[in-house]
Amino acid sequence: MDRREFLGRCTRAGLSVTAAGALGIGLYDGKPPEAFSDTTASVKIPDFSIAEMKGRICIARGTDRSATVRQAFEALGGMKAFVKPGERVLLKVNAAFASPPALGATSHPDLVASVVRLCIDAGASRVTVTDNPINDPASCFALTGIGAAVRQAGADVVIPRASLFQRFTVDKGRLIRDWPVLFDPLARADRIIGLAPVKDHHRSGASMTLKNWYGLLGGRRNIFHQDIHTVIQELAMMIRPTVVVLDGTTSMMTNGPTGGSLSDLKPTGTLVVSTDPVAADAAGATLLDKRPDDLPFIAKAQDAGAGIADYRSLDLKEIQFG
Amino acid sequence: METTGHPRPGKTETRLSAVILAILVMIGAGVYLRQSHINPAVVALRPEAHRHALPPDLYQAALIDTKGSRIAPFSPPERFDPDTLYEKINGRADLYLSSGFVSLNTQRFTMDETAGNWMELFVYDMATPENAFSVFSMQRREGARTDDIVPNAYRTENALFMTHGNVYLEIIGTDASEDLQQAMGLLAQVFVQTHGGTTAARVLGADLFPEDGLAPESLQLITANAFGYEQLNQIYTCEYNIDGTRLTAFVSERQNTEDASVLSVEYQQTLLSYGATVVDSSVSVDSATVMHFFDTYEIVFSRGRYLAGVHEAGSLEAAKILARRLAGHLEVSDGK
Repeated sequence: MDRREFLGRCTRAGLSVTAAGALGIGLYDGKPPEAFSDTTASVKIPDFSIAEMKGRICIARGTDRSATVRQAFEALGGMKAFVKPGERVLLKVNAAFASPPALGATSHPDLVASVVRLCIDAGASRVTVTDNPINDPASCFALTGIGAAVRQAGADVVIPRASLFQRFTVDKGRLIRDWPVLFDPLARADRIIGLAPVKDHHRSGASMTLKNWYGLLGGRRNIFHQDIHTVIQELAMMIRPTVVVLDGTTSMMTNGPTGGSLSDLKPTGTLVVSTDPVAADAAGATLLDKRPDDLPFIAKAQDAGAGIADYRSLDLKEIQFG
Repeated sequence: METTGHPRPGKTETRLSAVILAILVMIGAGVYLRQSHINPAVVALRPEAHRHALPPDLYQAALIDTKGSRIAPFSPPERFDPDTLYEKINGRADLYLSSGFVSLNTQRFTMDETAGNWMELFVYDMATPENAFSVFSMQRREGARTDDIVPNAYRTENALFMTHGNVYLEIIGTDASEDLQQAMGLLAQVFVQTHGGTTAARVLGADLFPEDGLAPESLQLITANAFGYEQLNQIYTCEYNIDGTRLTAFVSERQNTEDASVLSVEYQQTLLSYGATVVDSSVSVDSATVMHFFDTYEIVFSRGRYLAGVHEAGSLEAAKILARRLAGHLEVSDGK
């Protein structure tokens, strides 16, 4: 190689590096994507329910969450009745607070992991778990133990971020109109399972499976607390789940929804699995020493056609485990 | 052209090589700097990321200085204002917001050798001692163990709750271990010492109620919208046990005698407008009205600058006994 050739090659290499670098700089977008660039469109959330499984409910008594939920699903025909091989399943848990599982403010990691395993055993191609806790979601999933339990069981956690939200309007809704909803995980799922603990709630009287969908809302959703029963009704209209799991193994009787003291909890040894979330919440109300009539959102959700409050009129199975 | 050995490179080659090397160094520096600003979400999911001792400067920023103890902060302090409080405590925010909430500061602490246990400190600035006592009393856990660290303090199996001046403070532990209980006590002590000492604390409202039949630790302060009536604010309540019946007495100190009297009449009229009926029964307390309302009895009266009464009593006789005791006690208090 002579000097002329060497200089030529160096020049070409330099130009190539410069061109590649310039291209990279040109394509680099320093700004995050706009959260809601499309202000006119409202997405549609699929109906995840299974027609032939309508009105099924199992009230299982037991203290071992993993064993009890497995038995409860068995009583309803097994997880295979809800999840077909190859289907993608989304678990909407309650990870609202960065508090330890012992305080009962969030879904218990043992229960979440058990349901993940049941879905995988039923042949689910992918299981994802999500919630939108607003305050530092990563800490919430970590400190509740849900994140680690989910990954160990073979599922993925979806941490909410702006690009996963889409504007949504509940058909005939008054409050949830053009409101950001954690849509992307819903769009990527064939089935959705809600998992919620039984809790007292300062505003709504109780937080159970219907209130649990509140965690799919984005934005300054606290404004809905002014009309909490109506927004829960609209959430019931927004999500038609495949099945819900209401965990009343221990119930938060006072100072909900955060609690804080172990003395806020009471062992109630009950777990409800139902395709009807209204029925599940009506059954859960009794664990809080309330009647379904004490919780206006139950009647409102029933009026909206989201389910039946008289759970004893459904295909009810009651089992005792352990 | 054949060459032998290693001829000296020309100036152009040397400069080009220097430029290329400089670019590589810059790229390396860029990568190094960029990775030091990694998105926290990438690692925040890992539990271990939350349990490591924080850099020394975090002690300086900690809500409570724990230097010299085996307690260490393991999360940075967070601050919430009235607009963002719901992000931290969601549905419970309303209770605080209706009671004069100013700000909330929180931080998690753990002990050096027990990384599995941790506790979270909540420091609520409620603007006044009355507001702080209100949220303290409204959430008081039944059967909790009184703690003598300050006049308004109690513990449950895993937590410590107290007021101190304008502050309502919670320390919530992950479990019921003795280690955590000791650590909570230490945190609370340091907080009190660095915020005015025990002289800053006082029990509010307790002397408004007679002691006979009083249920221990039942004193509450409702700052707004008491019993569902918008005009009833700054209402102290206490539970009583009279002849086996559980009763609630209430007292509120108003600006003057006239204000107390007017509010008493207005509240009575409001109850009557909602369907209460006056019971023709003497209670031997001047200005007192006895009403029957949804299977319970209400007695409302004023004594000097105090509005007072008995709320939702299941027994008329027990309510009358309590009303007489209350009126007698307030006459003495008003005369002081």
